[in-house]
Amino acid sequence: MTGPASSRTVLAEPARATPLISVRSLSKSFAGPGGRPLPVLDDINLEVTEGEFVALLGRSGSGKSTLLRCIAGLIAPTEGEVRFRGRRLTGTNRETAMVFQTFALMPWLTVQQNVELGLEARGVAAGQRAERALRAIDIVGLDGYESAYPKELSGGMRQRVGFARALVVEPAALLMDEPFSALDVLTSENLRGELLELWEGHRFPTKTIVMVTHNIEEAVLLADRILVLGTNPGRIMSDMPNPLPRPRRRRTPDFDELVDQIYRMMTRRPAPDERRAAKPAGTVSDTPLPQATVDGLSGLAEILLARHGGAADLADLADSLGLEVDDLLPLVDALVLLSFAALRDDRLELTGNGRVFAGASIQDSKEIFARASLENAPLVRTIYRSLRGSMDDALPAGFFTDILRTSFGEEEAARQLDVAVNWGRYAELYDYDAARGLIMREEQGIGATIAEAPGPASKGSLTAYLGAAQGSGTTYTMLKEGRALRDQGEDVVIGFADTRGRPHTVEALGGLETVPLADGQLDLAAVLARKPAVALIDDLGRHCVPIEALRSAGIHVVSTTDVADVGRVAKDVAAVTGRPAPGRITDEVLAGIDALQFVDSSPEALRKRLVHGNIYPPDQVGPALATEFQPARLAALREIGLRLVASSVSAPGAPRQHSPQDVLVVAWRPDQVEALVQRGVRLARRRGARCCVLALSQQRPGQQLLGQRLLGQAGGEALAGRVEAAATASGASVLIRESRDPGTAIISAVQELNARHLVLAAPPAGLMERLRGTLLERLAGQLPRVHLHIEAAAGSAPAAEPGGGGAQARHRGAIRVYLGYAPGCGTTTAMLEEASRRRSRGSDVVVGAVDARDREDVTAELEHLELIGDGATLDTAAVLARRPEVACVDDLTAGTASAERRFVAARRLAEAGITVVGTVQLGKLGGAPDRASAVFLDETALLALADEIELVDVPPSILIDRVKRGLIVPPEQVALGLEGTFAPDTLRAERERAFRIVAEHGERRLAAYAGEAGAAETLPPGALGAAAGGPAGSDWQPSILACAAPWPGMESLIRRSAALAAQVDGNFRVATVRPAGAGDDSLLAGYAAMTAQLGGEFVTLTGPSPALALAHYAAQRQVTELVLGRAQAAGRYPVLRELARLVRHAEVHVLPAEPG
Amino acid sequence: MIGLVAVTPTFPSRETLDRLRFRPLDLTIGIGVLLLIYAAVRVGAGARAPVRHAATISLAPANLPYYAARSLLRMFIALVFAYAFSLGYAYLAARSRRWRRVLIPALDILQSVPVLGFLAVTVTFFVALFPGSEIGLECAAIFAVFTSQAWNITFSFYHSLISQPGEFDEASKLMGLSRWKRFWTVDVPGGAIGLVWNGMMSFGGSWFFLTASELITVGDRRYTLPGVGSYVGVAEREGRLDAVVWGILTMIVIILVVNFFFWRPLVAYVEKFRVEQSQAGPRATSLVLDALRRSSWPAVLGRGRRTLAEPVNALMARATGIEDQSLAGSASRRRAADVAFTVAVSVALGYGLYSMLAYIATGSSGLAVFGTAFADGFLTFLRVVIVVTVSSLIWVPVGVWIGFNPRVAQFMQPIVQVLASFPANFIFPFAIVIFLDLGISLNFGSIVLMALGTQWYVLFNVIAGASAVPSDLKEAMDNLGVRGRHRWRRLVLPAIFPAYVTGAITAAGGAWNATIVAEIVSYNHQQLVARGLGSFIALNTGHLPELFAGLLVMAIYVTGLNALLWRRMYMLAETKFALA
Repeated sequence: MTGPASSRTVLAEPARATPLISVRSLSKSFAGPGGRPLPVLDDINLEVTEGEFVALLGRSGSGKSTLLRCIAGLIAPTEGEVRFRGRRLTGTNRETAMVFQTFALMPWLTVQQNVELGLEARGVAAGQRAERALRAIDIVGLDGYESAYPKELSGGMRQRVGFARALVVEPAALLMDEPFSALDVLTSENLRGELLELWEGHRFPTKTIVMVTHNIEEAVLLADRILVLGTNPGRIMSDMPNPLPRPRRRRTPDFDELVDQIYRMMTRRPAPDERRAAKPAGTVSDTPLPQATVDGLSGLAEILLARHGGAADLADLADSLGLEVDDLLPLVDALVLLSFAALRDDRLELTGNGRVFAGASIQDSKEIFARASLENAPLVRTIYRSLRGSMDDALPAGFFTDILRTSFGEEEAARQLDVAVNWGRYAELYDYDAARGLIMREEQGIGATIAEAPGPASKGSLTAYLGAAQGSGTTYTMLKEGRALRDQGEDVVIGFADTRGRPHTVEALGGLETVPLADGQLDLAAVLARKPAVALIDDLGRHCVPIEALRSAGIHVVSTTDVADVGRVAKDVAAVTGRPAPGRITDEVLAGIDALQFVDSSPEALRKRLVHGNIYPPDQVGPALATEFQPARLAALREIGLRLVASSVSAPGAPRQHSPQDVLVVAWRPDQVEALVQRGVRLARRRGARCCVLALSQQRPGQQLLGQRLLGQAGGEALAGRVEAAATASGASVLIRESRDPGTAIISAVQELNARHLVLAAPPAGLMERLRGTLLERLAGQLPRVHLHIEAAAGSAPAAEPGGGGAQARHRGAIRVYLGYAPGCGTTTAMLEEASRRRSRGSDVVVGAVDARDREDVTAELEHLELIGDGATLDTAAVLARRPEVACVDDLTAGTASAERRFVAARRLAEAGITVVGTVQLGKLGGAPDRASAVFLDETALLALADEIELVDVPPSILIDRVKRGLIVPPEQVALGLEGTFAPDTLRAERERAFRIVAEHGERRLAAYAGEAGAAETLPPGALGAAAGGPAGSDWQPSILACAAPWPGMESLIRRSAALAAQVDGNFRVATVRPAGAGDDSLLAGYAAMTAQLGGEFVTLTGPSPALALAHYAAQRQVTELVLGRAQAAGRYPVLRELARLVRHAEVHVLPAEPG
Repeated sequence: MIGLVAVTPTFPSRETLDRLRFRPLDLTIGIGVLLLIYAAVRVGAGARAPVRHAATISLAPANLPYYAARSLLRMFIALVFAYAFSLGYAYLAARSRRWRRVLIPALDILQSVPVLGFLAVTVTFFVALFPGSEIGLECAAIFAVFTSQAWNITFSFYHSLISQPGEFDEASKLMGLSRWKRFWTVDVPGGAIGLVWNGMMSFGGSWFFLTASELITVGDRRYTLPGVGSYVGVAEREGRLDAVVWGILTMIVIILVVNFFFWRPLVAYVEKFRVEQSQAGPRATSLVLDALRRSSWPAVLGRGRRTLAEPVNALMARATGIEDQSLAGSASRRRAADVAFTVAVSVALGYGLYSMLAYIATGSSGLAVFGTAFADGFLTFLRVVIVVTVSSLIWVPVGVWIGFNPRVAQFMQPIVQVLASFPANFIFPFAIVIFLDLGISLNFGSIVLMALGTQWYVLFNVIAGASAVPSDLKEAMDNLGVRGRHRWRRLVLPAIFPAYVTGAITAAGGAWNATIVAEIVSYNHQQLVARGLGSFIALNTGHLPELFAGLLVMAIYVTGLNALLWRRMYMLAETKFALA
């Protein structure tokens, strides 16, 4: 024993001068595909002196084993050199010996023969050979096993032989390649201890040890110096001495600190800025998938949640799981990549999403995983999109390996694809046929239902509001449009809105969701990630490129711009303003605008707004009035704007094309028919779609399958008859189906009609309850894109319109209203002109009432028209008896206690099928209510009453002019009028109000107009009233309750519920039932904040059964509509079934899977 | 008993099929090998001389032990040569990057060339080498046996060399083992099991070639060597069925004895070279080996070996040096050398190909001979297809039944193994008698003759495959109530597929080789001929250009089928149906 030890001490002296091993700017790359080098090691510089125990630490792929083999002279470096004792290596380094992870013992040689092999090669004589071998065997503690064969030994003993074989040749450097990693925990610990003992006791006949390991604790325990290698390509990230005194102990603070420090080093991410820049790109090449299986990463998440409460130090985690860095870190990387967890230094914390993922059932965790990997794993996304976008159902895997090969090596490309296949298969996004090497589209399951951004085929539209000058109100208009769209159920967010602190505009933001800006800039990535249906982005000129990106992602954009920014007119603008105009909007961008709308403001109005401080802060008002707000300049700009709009390809205000969302009503019990049909018809009208009623009767075997036959049967007759009656009354079509299997019948009918809404009654409680319950789930599961409206079980839903008016309602006439903002605007004239126009087209037109008959222009028009009665009072009965096609009723606000209010009469006329053309003057609107009747026509009622409102607009200046000329009021009242009603300020304010009413109405009716294409389809009065808040006089108010599950992904549900609430003008609550025990507070807090932002109330319920808790709460708060997400309804939970059974007096909505 | 073994007498071994691609280079090399054979033929043809001492065979059963001994001697001499060749060839191919690119494709082609086809050629060559003695004839027979044994062994060893664990290589280099030392302590022990098993199987298969090569007709000349094969051959020609029976019995005894005293002990011995990390379950045992181990011979031999080994090792270590690549090698220089090597090989091949075609063109029908050969080849191809299909239909169910019944399997497996190594041509006379009686044309009868030798490979492998099906799979199927057609489709056929493919490949290869003796037979002084590539070759032993065209066409058929069909089946078996 003394021999080797003494030689070590003797030789240690001169070695201080020259390092034993020196590695100089060593790089190593292996040949990749097409001869491209794949770097493994890059610029390694390293010196190891005698007496050092060096650990090379790194993740797999860091090239640490390659470096060790370069030192051993087994591999030639591509660049740089390795010197040993100052001499450059030209071949195998015979002064080293290696201990292998796999032991590398010859199984056919005994222990002694194995150990002797190296000595024999060095020409040691047989006798001496045996002696030295036995001594080495003795050192490693294998005395007595000399003649055993390796296969007779345990792993630990075999590695002892490996040590003996290496030590017997007394190498200058002992190289160890993960010597303990193939051994079990206990054995490796024991062996480490013995190695340490030998090394510390200088009993080792070697001068230095270089050990490759991926076990951090092992490195800290054994080595004097720890080199951490980074990956891709391997570089020395850190070269730290290990100052811990020997003997070292685990679980001491210093030890743990050093371990944690190395963990931090090994998990260090790129700096945050880099990541932000890299994230939107998120390409296949810059975001490789970690080598983690779904089982592994979800197991880690579960353990993290269950055992560590959601967060743990990596070192503790590795320790408690008995995992080494190489096994643990890929899993950690995967969790972080998927946003299931975040790394804070060396502490791994589950995110809210991650907590839910860890706790979810298989199906839910699959869905969560599917979304997370589509969002965060570029390769999974690429494969999924390629399959969605391809004509074939399958793509060869080689297609993707080819892509991957350009960024990774052959093997890594294959590994990447393996991971992507593993993930995508688990998430049910796609499938893989290994025999044919095809990645296939998943026709069922999550992959088929997850809505992804549609490709360029369905590019989002662009609506732009054009203003002539600062303060025209484009932003305000944009926001208003946004709110209107939101109220129609669209998913609207504000991407960028520059309110400039203007109070009106700020107010207009109200309730709209805003994507936070990034450094004051539009956060394109965030908007894309949020993926709304409509994004509001102020300032088109500045955001041309991002808007294009959003549209490419299928997002509709509403934007604003200023004439000065339009390139085509920039020169003109510059000439007017005397300043160069930016002109950032090229003709191309201009042509790409689907709807360009001019937001008009008269110069006067603008100046007034300016003076009122609505445009600029007070200190800038004065100069602005003198320069850019000179009336002439504003007028010129206005003219430029008008010309521009006129010449633009798209007509301003072209209605946005919405796909009609047809409604299918399912009736199976006669007593529910009317209520359901009305509900469905209302829904359909709101969306400008058709309504169809499915009369479903459960046919018993042996009965005839003809509709006629059914009508002849007792129950069937009642049902079919009532359905037919109700449907004809409300203009819905009828579909009679008989089936023993209602589910299949409904599903096939929905698919036939391509219906997007399904209205049905909750199955009655009773024997069939279970069966019907499963029916609802089946519908929810198989019709993912259909919005389910489940009427309350009690059948007396408040949502149903009282009086069952639907039965009487036949063909309804439309009510058209000409709105004037002041007397003398010419509403009567406009009405009569239309009457003449219609008459000339052959319509049967009568005039029921007309005011100001003494005016010349009015008299002239009246000559050609049939007047019923004297015109001063409306004789409703006479008109009804006459039954014309069109009736003109002037001044709908008029009427006295004795006579019927004209607007009530107008509604009656309309209900009788007569189209009513009327007029309303803003000044008379919303006057003092008539005492005899609580009914009066105010702004809201007008909006509800009128199917169409047309503004009869006259610039105030002209109106004032007319007043001055005595055309509107008697000459003696002119002065008074000009002070009061016709004061310019009043006029402007009224005009703006009129504009607002018209705009508001127009927007409310956008959906209804869609698809009409100008045809005068009649819309019944009251349709909107019901939608906007139920019948007048009723104190009933809709109350929406969104039932959010306590897991991630509920944002969409909350948002859409809020939109639903806004649509029906009801209040809005979100309830979530916390599972007993652990709950994720951060997640729920996020929901609560979101709910508050959307103007709702958030409640957390507790209870063993979510459905029971929700139903109880709904009953308490008199909730009228419960909203469920699709995943909740179609999932494995009986929530929907239970709710449908438990909830009374309310409607249960199941939202479609994702907004289309 | 090892589960699955390629019982390949010749033709593609499993290792051939392991290599996925068949590059143009491989084809060129293949052609090169044919050219070498062609050169040998030209030399032999130029030195043709009559052999004066052609032995006469006595059909008396008493002579049989002597004949059997002669045959056995030839077999063992061939085996020694086969091992020597294999070790050298495989080592060169595995260790030299450049040679590998030539040697391995060449081996592919070599095992596709029908051994019996160029027997006529080699006979003339060796007879010319040793004029006036039987040694030339002996050499020719031994060479035929050698060619039937060597390729498989070579592939096996090559495969074990290239799949050697990287750590063994690294450890050897770091310990500084000389090439010689490394060869004997690392390389050969690592491949020992494959060497022995493949040796045993090839040995069994080569009986067929030995017996065929003891009685050779070249043109109008007949060469006879004393041996069991010639004994049966003569009996056949004379129509002496009783003598044929004696020959068959002798053959069975030989096979059993060799198995018991030679192969079985060897197989048991090489168990110790199994690279496995733990003690495995049952392993091969041998009474003979146990007896030998108990004797003092091993100790004596061991001492002798050690005293001899020390100086020899030292000497050889100096001679062979240490295998150590230079770290400073210049990539560009290496590439230049590669290019030069490739160019040289290509030029040589180009010239050779030209002169071979020119030589074939000198034949009686010029290059049109290829047309005839291909047409005949197609007929033979059809026969091979029928042989494989029919024997599969018959023996797969039987094999599965045997394999699924452990007791039957234990009893049947050795029998089938003997049947597989039994030279089928010994049974030909009986079949021919039946054909003659029933008036069956050899055009169809030859199918039966071909099947006689090759069907056993299917059976043997299917039994092995079926007995290797894990019992838990069978129990799961029982538990699920899967039986009948479904069980076959879902369990049995997929599970035995890899084994079946091995068997079918072997059977097809054997069938091609057997065509040369099965498409033309003599019985009782009559000669029956079936049209086909085998008879084409057999009839043209005297016309070298035609013979050569025939060999070339057969090699093309065999390699083409390997590449187009068997390789794919093999990959499928390895990837999709592997039970591991």
